[in-house]
Order: sequence, then structure tokens, then C-alpha cells
Amino acid sequence: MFGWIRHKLKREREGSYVPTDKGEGDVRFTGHNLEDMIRIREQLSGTSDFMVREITVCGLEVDLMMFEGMFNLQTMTEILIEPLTALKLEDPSPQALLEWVRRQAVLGADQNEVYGTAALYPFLMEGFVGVKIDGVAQAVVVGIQGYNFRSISEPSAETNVRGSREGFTEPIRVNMTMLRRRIKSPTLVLKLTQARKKSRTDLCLVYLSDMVSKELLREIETRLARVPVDTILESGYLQPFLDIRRPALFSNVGVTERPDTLCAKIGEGRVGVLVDGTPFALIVPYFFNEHFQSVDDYTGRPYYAAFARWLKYLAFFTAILLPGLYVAVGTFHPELFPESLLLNIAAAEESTPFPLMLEALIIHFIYELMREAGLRLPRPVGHAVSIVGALVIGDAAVTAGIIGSPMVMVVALTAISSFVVPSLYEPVTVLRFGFIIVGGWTGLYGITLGMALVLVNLCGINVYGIPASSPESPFQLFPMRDVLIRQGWRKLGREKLKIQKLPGSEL
Amino acid sequence: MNRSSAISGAQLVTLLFTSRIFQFLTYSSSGKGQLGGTAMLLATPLALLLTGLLLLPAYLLLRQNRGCGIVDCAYRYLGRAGGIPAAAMGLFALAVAAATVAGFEFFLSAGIYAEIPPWILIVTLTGAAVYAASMGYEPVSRVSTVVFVAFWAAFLFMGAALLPEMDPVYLRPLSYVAGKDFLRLCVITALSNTETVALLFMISVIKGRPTRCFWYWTGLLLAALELIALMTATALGDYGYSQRFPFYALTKIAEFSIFQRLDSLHTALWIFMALIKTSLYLRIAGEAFRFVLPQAARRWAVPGCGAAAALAAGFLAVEPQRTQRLSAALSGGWPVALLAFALPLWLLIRSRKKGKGEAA
Repeated sequence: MFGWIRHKLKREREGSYVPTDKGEGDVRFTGHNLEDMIRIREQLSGTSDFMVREITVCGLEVDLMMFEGMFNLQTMTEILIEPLTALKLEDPSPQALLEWVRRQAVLGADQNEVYGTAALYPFLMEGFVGVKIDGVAQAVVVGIQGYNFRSISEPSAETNVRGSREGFTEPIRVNMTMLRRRIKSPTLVLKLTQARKKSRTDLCLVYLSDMVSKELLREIETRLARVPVDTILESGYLQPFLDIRRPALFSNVGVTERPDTLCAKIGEGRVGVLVDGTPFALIVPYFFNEHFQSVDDYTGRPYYAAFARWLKYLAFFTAILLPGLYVAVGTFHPELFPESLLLNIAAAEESTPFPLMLEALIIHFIYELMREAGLRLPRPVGHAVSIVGALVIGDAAVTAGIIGSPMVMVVALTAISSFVVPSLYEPVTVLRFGFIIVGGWTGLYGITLGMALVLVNLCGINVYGIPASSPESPFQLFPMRDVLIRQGWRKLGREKLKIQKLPGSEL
Repeated sequence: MNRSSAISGAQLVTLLFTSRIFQFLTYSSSGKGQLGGTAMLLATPLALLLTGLLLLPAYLLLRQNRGCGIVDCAYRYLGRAGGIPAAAMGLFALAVAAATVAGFEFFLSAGIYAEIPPWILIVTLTGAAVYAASMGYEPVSRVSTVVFVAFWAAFLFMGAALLPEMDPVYLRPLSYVAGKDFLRLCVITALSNTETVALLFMISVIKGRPTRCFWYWTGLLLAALELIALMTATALGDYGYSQRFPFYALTKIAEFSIFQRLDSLHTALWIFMALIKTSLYLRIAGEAFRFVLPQAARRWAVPGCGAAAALAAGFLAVEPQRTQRLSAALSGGWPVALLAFALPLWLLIRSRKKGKGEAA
């Protein structure tokens, strides 16, 4: 057994060993360039962006393979074509040329050898250039990527007042550098892997080896390896596979566009997942209270951060409950309104044909319709939609007698509140509609029972063995320093929090 | 990464506290309040001490069978007949769940939502409780922790709002109450504590020291009950004795600055507590029946108990007297005395006999 392994290693060192395992659709190189190129072209079905450039080096035929627009032409000329064309070998042979490429040439920082098409394509499709020497049954791939991509810019979905203006961009490697620049520690691990299916999208697991739980990491890797989706175009494709299986209202996988946020999260033992082609990284696991934290909380004064937190919690409850409560109280418990307000509401409702519940449903439906339209349309047209929306909701609907004017106030307040915690917009919207129906049907009883169910759903979830409602319930004082309030950095920086140490954790 | 069903001692305390206090925020069918606030103030600590004594056989039994619940002990000492105590506990828990749902429906129909059909209240509460119970003890106890904090915040706020209304002149001297009636009140208060049975059933899922949990629970309960008794007696006076829902009547008169009608706050908390109590007892009923059900039917134990509780509550809701009769039977003392005292005592005697037999 050990003799067999030693023999393989010896052959590998000598360069005479060719791995025999073949992947799906893999074709081993024969050593004859013409034959190999015919097979490659056959496999690529005559795609137009595949390019082969033949050059002669010391009388030997060398094929350079690449995909159009994926490599940097200037770099290729400087580090690949010029040294090769200027090369004078004393005893030219395919093996000697390969040896020169291997040992003496510094073609690129990122250089690999491949023995078949299955290994070759992912490299070429990432912007590597393949060097195939006639007479050698392998190819050298050189990383000289040079495709165009959106430059680093301010994150559009997570703006901040103070702090870094850098947001993730589409190429995964650029995103990796942004993280490395922020945490210059050997414990920061950027583990590249690939989705197993057709798209072979690059994924990168990001964690701090001294903070992360090994069990958590293993579980995430296992889940990623089992993702059955063929083409992964965005991190959202992976999110459901990292989320818990039990139906949950709130996702337990966070999303961020900010490298500083990701760095902060992995600093507490979480794992980040970067996906090539998207600026949105995933954070696993993600607890409910994290939706109410933002970068600005940590750059400003602690007392203001605490105030902002309370404001966000209040906005969250306003966004989901206000229309439902208004409908429930107006329909079942009008005595709870102050007298003057009750008279105003009664006067407004007198002129409308619909019950409060239907009114609320109509107006929120119109609002969501306009928000959706404004979101998808080109920006200049979006503004027009906003104007129409303001007119429709603010004036026309009231004048037409479809809704009462207090309802306009309710929908406006709800809409503003729902934007305070943007990461919760989706569940908030659905819950809002749910509470309107329940409130109109069963009054405050239904609203309370609905809230109790939301609480049960939240408390009933364990994310990778950690309660999603932790540290509020099960309660622990130490992690609460950054939940309802944000303590100052003198205290926050003194002792680090590890998510696996949260109360109720089974990690 | 399997989730365990164990709960911490603190979670148990909040769970049992929330479940127990629910009873005191609702109507009084046994006429406890008629003895006067002073009697209740003094009877509460004695009743809780009596509960401690009541659980002494169970304490001794479970101390010699660490890690076991009461049903495990029953199977250990009674063999296959251990299924009888398991079924009895299941039926008891089911009855408590049904009485809770029926009482809840009665309170809401009679006090607040006369226009909502009773079946809607029953079905929605039971459905929500089945959902919570099917998740396990731990999620329910997590919710109870949140409700526990909310309860104390609301309760103290309400107490502060009631301060201007409270007058100690309404406290009747204890000499007005016959000694026999006072003792009866102590015993009934102790034996109506259905949560002692729940505690015994859940012993095996507690991470921590159950004895300590019991005393923390008792201490918190004592504080809350004393405050409720004091507030009801001094703020409502004789008017409180004529009320079917004395605490609710109390919340109606409480006001603080612009905050009026704190009954909505009470109702909201009460709904949360009803959900927790129903879920807890449905879970216990489901777990108890799992001991006697065939393997294939076990996964349906909790939904089945939910359906049974809903049907029973529907039957009880037809006539409010039925609910009162069931509540009176449950809080009358015999079920708790049998399950929390007599059963452990019997098992303890069996264990001693078995121990002597093995030694001989």
C-alpha cells in the first residue's frame, strides 16, 4: 500500500505521472496539439469566444488558449509571449520547454498544470491563459485575468454616515482582497471552493480560524456541497440551503454588501460566504437582533446608538402592527381612541363606502404596487411613479371617497417605518397584510394571538444549534451589551463575544 | 447538531410561573376572594409551603432515581402498569388544557368579544397552541421568558397606576374569617396548583437543580400573588368580591397620565399566557400519551391532544357551568393530590419494598 503511494509520488516528482481519475466529460490530453485542439473545439461546440493562438518556440509548436475578453492582453504580451518568443533553449524538446516554463520562467503569480479538459475549462473561463506545448500531454495555465468589472463603489443597499465607503463588487477575488486588507491576521481564512454543478461558480468561505466553531464550519461546508442548483447567479440561490429547514418568518442567513460588516461578523465566530458574480455576501448564522444593528451604531456615540436601536425596534413593530391595530381598534374597540380622534375618524369613515379592513387592504396594496413599480422601472420613470403615487394615495383616494384621511396617515407612517429596517422588509410586508386581515376579523385578540405566534416561530428556531432569539431568550446579560443598547468600545473591546457561547447554544 | 429538548432551570421557572399566574388573572370560581384580601394574603405563603410538603414524597422518589421523570419511575416500579399513571397524567393535562381554552373563551366572550363566535376563539387558540406545543418545551419556555418579563413590567406599571386607588381600609381583619375556612383556603390553594403535576412530569427534561427551581418559582409566585391579592383587596374593596373577573376589573380602573384603560394590556398579556399554558399542557399530554400509544401514532400525539382539547372546550363552551364545574374539579384538590402526592408516595413505598426485597 505505502509502496504504491511512494511510487506514485516519485512519478509525480519526475513529472511522468498523469492522474487517471476522469471527471464528467473529461478528455485527457494526448500530447498532440492538433488532436487535442480538435477535441477541445468539439467539446466547446464551436463557441465564438474561444481563441487559440499558435506560436513557435525554439522550433516547437505552442498553442495559447484563452477566452476573448477574459485576459489582459498587455500583461500576456509582457509576461508570456515576449519571454517565450525570445527563448533560446540549448537542447530544444517539448519536455525541456515544459521544464523551463515550470522552473525558470515567471509567467504569472498564479500558475497551474492540468491534464485534461475538465480541469482546463474552469481556469480558462476565469481568465487564465492555457499554454499547450506540442508533445506534452499536459497544459500550463497562467493567471492573467483582465476582464472588465464594476469598480469598487459605495454599497447601494447599506449606506452609512461614517465609516468605509467601500462595498463588495462582483469579482470574488476583489472582494477577498477587501477582507484581507481589513483583517491582516493569519487566522483569517479565505477558503475558495466551487459549486459542484454546471455553473461552477466560485464560492469563498470566510472565517477566523480562532473564533469559528469547527462544527458550524463543517455543517456549512456540507450544506454548500449538497446544493443541487445548476446555475448559481447570486448568493440568494444558496441562501435557502444555508437557512433552516423549518418554516421561519425571518431568515437566519444575513446578507451584506459591506466588507467591514462581514469582518465584524466573522469576528464573533460567524462564517461569511462570498459568491462570484454578486456583491452580496452571506453571513451564517444570523440572529433576529442583528437586523437592528448597523455600521453607524459602532461609529457614533453609544447613547445615540442605543437610541437608534430602540427607534428601529419601534419602527419594526409600527411597520407590522400599526395598520392592523388601527383596523382592530377602529372596528372592535373604538372606545380606546381618545374622544376627539374618534370623532375625526368617524367623520372620515362616514364618507367612505368600505369597512376599515378593506380600506386598509386596498391602500396598502396600492402602495406596494407603486413601490414595486418604482423599484423596477428606470430611475427617471420611477420618479414619475412616485409623483403619481403621492397624488393617488395622498389626495385622489381621499377625495374620491375610497379611503378616509386618517388611513393616509397610517399608510405613510407604516411605509416610512418599514424602511428603517430594510433587511426585514419582506417579512414585515407579509405580516402587515396578515395583521390587517386578522385585526379586521378578530380585533385585538387576533392581533395578540398573531404576535404570540410570531414570537413562537422566532423562539422555536435553532440556527445551527443556537437559538435564533438568543441572547434575549434564553437570556444572558453579557451578550445583551449589544442588543437593546450598545455599550462603549471600552467595554465592547475588552472581551470578545463568540456566537457559540451564546445561551442555549449546542455548538 | 440535533436540538435537545432539555430546558434550563430558569426557563422552567418562567414557564411554570407564567402558566400558574394565568389562573389568577382570570375569574375566580371557587369563591376564594370572598374570604377577604387579608385571608388570601396570609393563605398564599402557607399554601406554597404546603405545596412544598406535598411534593416531599416526589422529591425523595426522584432523588433516588436521578434523571428520571415520574412516569419513568412508574414504569420502573410498576412494570407495564406504569402506563396507567402515564395515561392518567395525559388525561389530567388534557383536561387542564381544555379547561384553559374553555375558560379563555368564556372570559373573552363574556367580557370583551361578545360578537365573535366561540368556535373561532377555540379553534384559533388551540391551533396556535398545537403549533407551539409541536415545537417542544424549549421554544415554549423561550416565549414564556419574554412574557415573564413583559408581565412584570406591565404588572408593576399597573401597580403604580393603581396606587392612588388603593386604600388599606378595605383589608378585612383576619379575625373576621373562621379558622376552619382559612385552613381550607390554604389547602385548596395548594392543591389547586396544577403546575406541581407539570413540574413532576418535566423533571427529566430540566438542566439544573429542580429543587432550586421549585423554590425560585415559589418565591416569584408568592410575590406576584401577594401583590395581586393586595391590589385587588385595597383598590376594589367589596366591589371586587362581587366580580367574576376581579383582576380584569382592577385593570379597568387603572390609569396613569395619558394611559387609560389598561385592560387592553391585561387582555394582551392574558392571551399570551393562555397560549403558553395551553401549549405546555398539550405538550405534557402528548408526551404522556406517547408512553402508551403505539409507535406509529406517537407523532400525532400532540395534534391529537389539540383536537381533543378543542372538542372538549367546544363542549364546555355550550354551557358556562360546565367550564366552571371542570375548573372546580381540577382545582378542587383531588387530581393534584392523587398525581403529585399519592402516586409518588406509592411509588416511593414500592421502591423501598423492592429495595428491601433485593437486599434480602
